[in-house]
Amino acid sequence: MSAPVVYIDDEAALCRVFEMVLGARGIPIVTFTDAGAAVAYLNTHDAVVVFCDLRMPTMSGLEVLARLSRPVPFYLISGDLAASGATPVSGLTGTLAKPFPAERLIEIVERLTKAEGA
Amino acid sequence: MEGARGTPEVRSEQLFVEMMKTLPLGAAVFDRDLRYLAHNRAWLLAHGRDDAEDLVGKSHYEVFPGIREEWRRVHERGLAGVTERSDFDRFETSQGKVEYLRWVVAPWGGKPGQVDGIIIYAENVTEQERTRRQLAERESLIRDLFDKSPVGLNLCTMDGLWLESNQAFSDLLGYTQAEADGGLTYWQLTPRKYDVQEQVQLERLQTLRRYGPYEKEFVRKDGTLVPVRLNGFVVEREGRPYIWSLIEDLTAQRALEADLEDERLKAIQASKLATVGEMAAGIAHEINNPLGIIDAHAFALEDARARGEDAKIDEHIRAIRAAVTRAGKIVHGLRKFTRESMNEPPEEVDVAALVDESIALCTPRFREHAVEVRVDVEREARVRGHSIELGQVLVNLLNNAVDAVREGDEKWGHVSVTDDPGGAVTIAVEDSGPGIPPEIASDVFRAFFTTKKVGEGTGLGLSISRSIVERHGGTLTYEPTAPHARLVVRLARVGP
Repeated sequence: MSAPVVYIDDEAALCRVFEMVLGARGIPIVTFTDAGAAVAYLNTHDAVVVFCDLRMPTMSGLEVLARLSRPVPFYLISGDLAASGATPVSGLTGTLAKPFPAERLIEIVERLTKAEGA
Repeated sequence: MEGARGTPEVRSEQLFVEMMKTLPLGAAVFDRDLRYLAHNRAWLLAHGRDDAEDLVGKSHYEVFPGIREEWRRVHERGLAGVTERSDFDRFETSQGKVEYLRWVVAPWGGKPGQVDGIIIYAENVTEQERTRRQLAERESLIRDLFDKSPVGLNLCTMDGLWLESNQAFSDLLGYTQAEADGGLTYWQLTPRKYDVQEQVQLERLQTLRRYGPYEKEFVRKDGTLVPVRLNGFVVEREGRPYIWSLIEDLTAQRALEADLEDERLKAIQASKLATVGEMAAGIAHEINNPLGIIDAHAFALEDARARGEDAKIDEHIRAIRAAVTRAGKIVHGLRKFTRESMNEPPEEVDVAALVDESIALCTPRFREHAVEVRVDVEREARVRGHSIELGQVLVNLLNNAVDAVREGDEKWGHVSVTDDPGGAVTIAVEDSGPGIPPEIASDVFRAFFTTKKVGEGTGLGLSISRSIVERHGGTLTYEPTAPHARLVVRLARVGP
């Protein structure tokens, strides 16, 4: 079983729809609405890529990144205007601004899955 | 006429003496050389002389050496048979005092057609003249006050028929004074919409004998309305009652009030837009999330269709519609919130709905900072006012609550609405923050006072909020429930 995509967002509806979208393509995905639980998971499990919301109530996406003990492709998703010009951060692979087309996420996942498979 | 009653000569002389003595006028009889043949005491008094003096046989011109030339002419004309009189003749006494005489100079003669001298009647009317002049002066003073008063003045009958108006009043109405007085009635120029208030003022007039201050409008000659403030009282004139009214033109005052109201609405709007600016990030988040959800579900829907998984299609459609509703709610709330509150008449406001809408608008920020919101609302509470403005007050208080608690460990806000049937509707916003330090508690309602960082607050929120609440006849106060902050809005309730 290959490593899953990890999607972290306090917005449960988004977690659920990406589970459906990726699930339909046979891509394993694990989602978290709680950032703390996600950090704990990522520090003990492999992931092919992490998509993480920037603005979350208990912990920001940047904090999640800072707490990771193992390197992993990490995309920050921002839902507001303020973060659209976020400064480069070490360990950050890229950013996605909400709303983004689902294809964008799939494209990234497929690219990284292929790279891993190769 | 001779007989038991005595000789006519004796009787007529006696009668003459009695008459002279009791005559309330000074009287003197002269011969052709203006020598005194007779005079009475009143004559001496009228001329300011000792009343015991006897002038008989003396020349009038010797007694009064300073007599004016024109007097000599009057005497000459009298001797020529002409009777002359004057009602107010000014003269200076030998002491230099100004006095006034009323006099008659008439010829007399022993035989018809013959002039043997003149009779002068004189009365000192200095006192009367002085009084008359004082009265005239007062009259002119009062007339000036009446004519030149910038306040409209009007005298009318109890039925409202105008008898006398000053310039200010007729100008105010666009009529000439001639048109107004005697031709117009109060009722002709009073719009019907004031019927009820008029009744109240009429009752005051009946019971208190005065009315006002009463603000209404008059219809001007050109048909436009002019706002006025009236005060009036009943006066008696020759036993009949009349009404004196003082009429102030409120046009300038109303224009000033309108300007101030305009400024006030602009300030509210500016503060509101600043609030929206502060909330923009949260609002964008709240709209972008549903958009992301819609896109992903639309994508998944295409997937499902391609795979023939019809069962899943409905689920995606439902999710899309739910997301649209969610985004629509915030857009609706925002549109309502930012709409300019015009000078509209107050309406009945459902406080529960107001709280719901305000919380919906602030939800993105509550969620972002993981602030828990509890709401205890008595559903029936109603107040009278402008829901947009009151909504702004609530959004302000809720935003402040978020700012107060977001750095803390305990993060909650509590909105409660209580409806006291005997009094007010109370909306309280409490939060888990540390409260306002006592040393600045009195400053927080001042304009431009803020403890927030630059760019995070305008310092207008509480000051504008308080002014809005006070304009609604209510209060906005800080009533901490130690250790928490609690801001309380009290408004008069409406309904049963």
